[in-house]
Amino acid sequence: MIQLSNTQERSLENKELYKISKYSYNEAFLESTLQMAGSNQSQIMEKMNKNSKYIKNQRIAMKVIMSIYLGIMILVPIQSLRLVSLSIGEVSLDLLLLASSGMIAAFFLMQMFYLLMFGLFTSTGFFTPESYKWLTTLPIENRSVSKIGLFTLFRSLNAQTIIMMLLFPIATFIMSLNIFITLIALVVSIINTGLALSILIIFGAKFTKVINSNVGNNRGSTLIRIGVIIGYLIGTLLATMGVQVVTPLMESMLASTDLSSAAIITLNQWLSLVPFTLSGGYLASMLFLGFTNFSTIQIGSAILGMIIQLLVVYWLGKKAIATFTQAISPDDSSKNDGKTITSTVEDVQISTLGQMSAFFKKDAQNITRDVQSLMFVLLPIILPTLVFFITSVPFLAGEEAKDTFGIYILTISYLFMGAFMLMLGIIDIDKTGASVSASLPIVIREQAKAKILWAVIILPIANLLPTLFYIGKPYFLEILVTFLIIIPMGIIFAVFVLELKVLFFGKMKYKYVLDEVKIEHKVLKIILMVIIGLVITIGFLILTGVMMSDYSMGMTYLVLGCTELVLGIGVYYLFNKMFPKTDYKF
Amino acid sequence: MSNAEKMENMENMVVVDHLVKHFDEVKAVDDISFNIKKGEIFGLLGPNGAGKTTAVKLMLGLLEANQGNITILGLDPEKNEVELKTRIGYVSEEPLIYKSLTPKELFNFIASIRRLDGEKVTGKLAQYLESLDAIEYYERLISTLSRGNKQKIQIIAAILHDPDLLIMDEPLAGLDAKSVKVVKEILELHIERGGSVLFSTHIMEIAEDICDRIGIINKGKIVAMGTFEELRLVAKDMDGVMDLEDVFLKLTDQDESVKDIISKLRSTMNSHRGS
Repeated sequence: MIQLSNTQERSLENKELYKISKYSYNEAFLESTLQMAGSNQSQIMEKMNKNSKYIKNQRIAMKVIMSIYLGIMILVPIQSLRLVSLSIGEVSLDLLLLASSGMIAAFFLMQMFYLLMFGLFTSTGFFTPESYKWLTTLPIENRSVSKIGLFTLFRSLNAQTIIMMLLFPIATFIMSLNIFITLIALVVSIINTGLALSILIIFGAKFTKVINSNVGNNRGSTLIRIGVIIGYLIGTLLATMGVQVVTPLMESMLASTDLSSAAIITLNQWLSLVPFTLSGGYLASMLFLGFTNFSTIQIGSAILGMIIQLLVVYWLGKKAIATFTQAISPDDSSKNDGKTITSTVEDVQISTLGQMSAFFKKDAQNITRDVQSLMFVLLPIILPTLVFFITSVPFLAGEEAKDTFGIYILTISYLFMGAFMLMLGIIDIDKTGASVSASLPIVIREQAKAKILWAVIILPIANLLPTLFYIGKPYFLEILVTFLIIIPMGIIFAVFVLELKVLFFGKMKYKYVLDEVKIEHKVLKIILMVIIGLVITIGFLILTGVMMSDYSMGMTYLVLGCTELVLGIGVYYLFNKMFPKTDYKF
Repeated sequence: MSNAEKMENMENMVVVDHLVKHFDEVKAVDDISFNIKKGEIFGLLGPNGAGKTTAVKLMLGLLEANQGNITILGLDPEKNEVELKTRIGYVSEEPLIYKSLTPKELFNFIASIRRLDGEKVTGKLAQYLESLDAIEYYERLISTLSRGNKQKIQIIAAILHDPDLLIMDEPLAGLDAKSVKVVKEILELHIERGGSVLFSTHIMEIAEDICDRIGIINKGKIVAMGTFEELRLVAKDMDGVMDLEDVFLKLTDQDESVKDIISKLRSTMNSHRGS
C-alpha cells in the first residue's frame, strides 16, 4: 500500500487553494451543465469537442444572465424610495415607514428567490464530491479540499454576490445622496446577502442529494424527487410573482388605509423585530425618513431585529459550511441512505407490452428521474396555473381580471407554448438510449404515437386546471366550455410540432425518424420552428378574437370546432404520410 | 447475378460493396468493401477515428451512404430496417442505454419492442445476468453503474433475442477479466449456432484472440484484409516488421510516429534519471 509521508501531504496557503479552485470550478460547472442537460448530455459533449471554449463561454454567459437579472432589480428599491420621498408630507410618517419597510423587505426576498430560482439548478454540480474527487488523489489535506470546495462555490457566485450586496446601497445613495445612510444600507445588504447565500447552500446541498438519490430507486424516493422539484418550481415562481405585487399593494395602502395611527405604530414596532428581511428594511427606512422622527422603542426594536438576524446569519452560515463540507466529502455515508437494492435470480421477470405502451412507460420512468424531462412535462401545467392563480385572485392581481377575452388570449398562448415545450422535451428523451434504440426494430409510428399520448394527457390538465380558480364566478361556465373547445387545438398543434421537428431533423431517404439525424443548420431550423409556431398561435388568436368580438359565443365555438376539424384532418394526413402503418409481422 | 454469385451471397451474412460516406469535406468511409460469412467473426481493426464506427452506423441504417451498397442477411438496411433489426444485435462503443432506467425496466422495454415472449426470455435473461455477475444491479439505475457494468447490460440487451448477426463496437471496453472470458464464450456459442459477428476494435491483441479474419481500416479505407496467417505472410515481406502489431502500425501509417514518440520518451526519462 502506498502511503504519503507527512512532508508530502502539504498544507497549502489560502491563496494557493484559491488558485487550485479554478480547476475544480471548471469541473463542477461542467458537472452541473451535464446534470441539467439530462437526456442531452451527448450533445453537450459534442459541442465541447467542436469548441474547446464552449464550457467557458457558457460559464460567462450564465454569470452575465444572472447578473443582469439581479441588476435590473435595482429599480425596485429606487422605485420604492422614490415613492416614499414623494409621499413625505402626504401621509403620516409611521404609515410611510410601514410601506417603505415592506417594499424593501420584499426587495430582499425577491433577491433571495431570484438567487434560488436561477442559482439552484445551475449549481447542483458544486454540491457533489464528483467535482473534487481528483483533488483527493493529490497530496492535499482533506481540510484544504473542503476549503477549495468553498472557494469553488464562491467563484461560481462571486459576481452575483457582489451585485446583490451593492444594489441596495447604490439605490439608497441615488435616492438620498447621503454616505452614512448608504453605509448602513450596505451593512443591511451584506447581512441579507449572507443569509440568502447560506439558504442557497443548505437548500442546494439537500436538493442535489434528492435529485441524485439514484441508488434508492423505489416508488417512495421517486415521489419525493418529483415532490421536491414541483415544490421548488411552484414555490420559487409563486414567491417571485407574489413578491412582485408587494409594491403596488403598498402604493394602494399609502393611498387609503383604515388603520389608526396607534395601530400602525404598534405594528411597526412588532414587525421591525422580524429579522429577515423586515428589521433591515425598517432600519434603512428610518434612516431615510430621518432617525429623529421615530421613537426610541421603534429604533431599538429595529436594531434588536438586526442583532437577531446577525446571530441567525452566523448560525446559518456555520450550518451552510458544515452541510457543504459534508456534501462534497467523498465518504459521506448518508448519501446512499442505506437503500442500496441487491437483486437475486428470483427478481428477474420479463413482462411485455405493445410498442406504443412500452415507449410511453419508458418515457414515464425516465421523466420521473430526469430533472430536465420532468420540467418539460410540469412547466406546461404549472406556468398557466400560476398565472391564472395570480390573475384570478383580487389580492394578488390588484384588481380582479373580469375580462374573459383577456383570459382566452392568455390560455391560448399558454396552451400553444406548453404544447411546443412539451413535444420538444418528450422527443428528446430517447437520446440517452441511442445505443439501444439504434438496434431495435422500432416502428416509428408507434414511437411517435407514444409521444403524442403525452400531449393528450398533459395539455387538457394544463388547460383545465386554471378553470378551478373561476368556480363560483358568473362566467365560470363560459370559461369552462371555451377552455374545453380549444384543447383539441393544443393537441393538434403538439402533433404538428412533432411533425415539424421530424421534417427538419429526422428526414432520411426512405423514412422519417424521431432522432436528430440532420443536425446541420440546427439553430436556423429551431428559429424557423419557433417562427412557424408563433405564426400559427397568432393566427388562432386573431381568429378567436375576431369571432368573439363580432359573433356570438355559439358561432365562435362552431367556427373554432370546424377549424380544429380541418386542421386535425391535415395533421393526421401528414402523420400517416410520414409514419405509415407497417404491415411487418414480428 | 450468376447462380454461383447468388450461392456465395447466401453464405454471406454481410456484403459491403464500395461504400462511401463523407461529412462535408471529410471522407469518413472511403470506398470500402468486405463481406462476413455465416459462422465467422470478422474484425474491423483500425486506430481511433479510422472510420470503424461510421461503417457500423451505415450498416445499422443510422446513416445514409453517399455511394455503395450494403446487404445484411439479404436485406437492405435502409429499406428493411425493422425486419433487419429483429435479426441483429448491436453493442456500441459508448453505452448510451437510457441511464434513467434500471436494467429491469430496460429489458422489459427491449422485450416489448422486440415482441419477445416474456416467459421464454426470463430464464435466459437470468442466466446471462448471473454469468456476467450483473444480477445484483438488476434494479439499480443504469446511471449509477460503472462503465463495465453498463457494458454488460448492453451486451445482454444485444444477445437476448438470439440474433443472426452481432455488430459489436469495442464490446470488451471496461470489462473485467472474468467477464471478458464469459463474453468470449457467449460469442463462441453464437458462432456454433450459425451466427456471425462484426467485431470492431482498435486493439490488435483482442482482434487476434477473437476474430477469424480482419480488415484493417485507416483514414476510411481498408488497407489490408485477410486471416492472421495471411497477414503474418505480409509481415515477413515488410522491412523492419516483426509481428502483427508492427503490420498494423505500418499499414495505419503510425509506425514512424510511434518510433519517434518512444525515442523522445526514452531520452526525456533518461535525462531526468541522470539529473
